[in-house]
Amino acid sequence: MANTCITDGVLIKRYVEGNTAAFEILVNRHKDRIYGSVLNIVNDSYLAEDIFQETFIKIIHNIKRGKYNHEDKFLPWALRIARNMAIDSLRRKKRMPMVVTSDGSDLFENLFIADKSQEDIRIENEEHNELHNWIRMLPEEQKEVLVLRSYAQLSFKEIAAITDTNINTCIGRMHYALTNLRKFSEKNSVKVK
Amino acid sequence: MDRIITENDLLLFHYKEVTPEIHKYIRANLHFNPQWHDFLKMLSEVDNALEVNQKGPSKTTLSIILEESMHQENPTF
Repeated sequence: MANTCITDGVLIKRYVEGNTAAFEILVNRHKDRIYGSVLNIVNDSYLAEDIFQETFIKIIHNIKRGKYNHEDKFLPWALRIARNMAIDSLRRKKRMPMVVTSDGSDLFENLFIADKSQEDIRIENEEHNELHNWIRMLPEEQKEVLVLRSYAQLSFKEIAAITDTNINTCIGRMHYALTNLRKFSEKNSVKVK
Repeated sequence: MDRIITENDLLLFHYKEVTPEIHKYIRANLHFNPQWHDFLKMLSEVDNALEVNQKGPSKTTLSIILEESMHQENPTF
């Protein structure tokens, strides 16, 4: 199927009609953008995989139940589901008791650090690594808007709808995020203006 | 037109959400305002930082999703 000119709405319609290849095209079209957005928000590749999977399972169920009525606005709709699942997961994670290792540190934190170390080997020479780490340290609401605007490429209007806020709030949060990134860079005396 | 351009204007300009009028004004005056240039450069760096270091979901996860999409009963409307 030549898929580049087929809209998301048409793919979903075909999937509803029983064409599972149409759904595969839809997944492949948006998987990196959705997974990357979740990963940028939760900072944990294991958790991001789980959330990504749960998001698409929910998407399948909703489409099958005829609950999709967003025409070609699939990505904002899918990101809203993913974003809500990410927030729920982060809340659950905060409530989870810490599993302590023999040296007194958090087992899950160690797992994450181990994962990051492997990643760090691959990305050691990436010039934006430090900036990416500062983005990770931003308050959740600011990071969320930054990721959804900059990475997921949603408009501020779409982000406002996803986050149940308004456009000015989203722009304000984005502005605070950039101000904080500048503060981080000034503290560390590097080049972000 | 002589107007004050805020960082919010530049933010919207960068993401192509600004009005055509302001877009034209910023384009015309960008060379005379190095601080605008620095701000826009920072936004590009943020975009790049989020783009790098990303990988897609694993093949296993994709297989589970696609299997689920096939196993579900087809809907009837």
